[in-house]
Amino acid sequence: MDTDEDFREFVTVRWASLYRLAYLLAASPTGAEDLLQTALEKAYVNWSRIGRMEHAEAYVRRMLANALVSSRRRASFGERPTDELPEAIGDSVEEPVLDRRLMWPLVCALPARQRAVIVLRYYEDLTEAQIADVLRCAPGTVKSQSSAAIGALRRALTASGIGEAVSES
Amino acid sequence: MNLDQHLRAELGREADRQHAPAPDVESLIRGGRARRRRRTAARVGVAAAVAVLVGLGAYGVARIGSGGTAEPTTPSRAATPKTYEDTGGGTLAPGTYRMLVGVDGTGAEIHADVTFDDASWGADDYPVLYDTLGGAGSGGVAVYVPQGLSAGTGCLLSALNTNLADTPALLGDQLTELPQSTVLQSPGPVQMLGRPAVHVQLRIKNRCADVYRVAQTPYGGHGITYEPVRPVVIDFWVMDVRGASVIVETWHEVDVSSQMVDRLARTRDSITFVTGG
Repeated sequence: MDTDEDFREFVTVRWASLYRLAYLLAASPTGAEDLLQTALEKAYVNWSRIGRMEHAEAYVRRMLANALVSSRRRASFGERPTDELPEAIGDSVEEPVLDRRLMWPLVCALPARQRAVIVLRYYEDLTEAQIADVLRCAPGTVKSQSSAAIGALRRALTASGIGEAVSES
Repeated sequence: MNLDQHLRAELGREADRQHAPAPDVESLIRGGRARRRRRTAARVGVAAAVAVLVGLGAYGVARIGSGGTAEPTTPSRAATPKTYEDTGGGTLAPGTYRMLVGVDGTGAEIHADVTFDDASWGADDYPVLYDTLGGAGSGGVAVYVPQGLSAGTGCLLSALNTNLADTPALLGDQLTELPQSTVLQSPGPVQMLGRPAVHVQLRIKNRCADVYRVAQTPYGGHGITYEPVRPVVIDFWVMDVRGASVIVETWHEVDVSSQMVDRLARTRDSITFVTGG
């Protein structure tokens, strides 16, 4: 099988799974497609190498996360990272349970690097050390980004009056 | 349910709700080909510019030899070098770049200026040189204060030894214990970059599914080879810089050309540590 054919097969088979990760990382459908386009173009350039890897999809998933935190890419997503999350205003919460419609918008409002850490930790199930490898930063940076993100989410949830329902992890 | 569990559940639900549009694979391939052409064109363009400059230099030398008058060159005021940036293997334009090496014992950052004098370098986590003169193969140069050394299997997600020795001599000994390695030259004292150093040479055959990690560095996991095909020879020089044990490293695949090894050494020798960084 030639390189192009191998790449076509990889994209066709893995597309949906890669798209879901890209969507969570980019926090929008258009951002996801943009991210995938960039990462897969780069993967194509080196496909003779990547295609031989035993875990090619894992490698491309890392490329996706890495592309997100590149400052050049961030601008094209039209994203405005902020340390302050929007006040969590949702439907009235009659019971002290977390409205699942609330969490995702809060994650979307996180700065890109914090969101990447959260997605890699809780969706990809990577450890801090693994996330540090993916994002090419020190484990301490991952820890501080994760702490900042969790803190911001907790504050927003508390402000919405349902923070008490979310126990300390 | 705690926040961790809420996040895990909600991210999974949100992902599952997405219906991926059909992929336009041909567009991806066209984009990839264009990206490859741009990369190649950039390399050729810079190489041509370097050739012109070399030619002009040779012309100047010829004029001097034939009695012509050589204008003295005015030393240019040294500007702060560009900051080295990982572009995922994109072309690294010739020039001098400032790299973060790590921190010293007081927490102050150590930087190094490194000069790349041809257009065959790519900017990965650390610079990678492609053997465009003598055949296929790659190599690279790195300079860092290690935060950890490979342990366990040596593969990217395997264990990391963060209990590092605090002297160059002992750190040199630890390097000989890198997984999957064969010691070609045992630790021994040398002079490198005008400093006393400990030199160690290893050969590593990457048996990982993808990346073998040598060390954890300020730029993240520092892998040597991504292709479990040919062994890699790594030279380490461990030296004291402001109280920190710094590793200067060159690596190359076993059968690269001698010209490539010389180019790696030339780049290594260009390293200057920035004082007061």
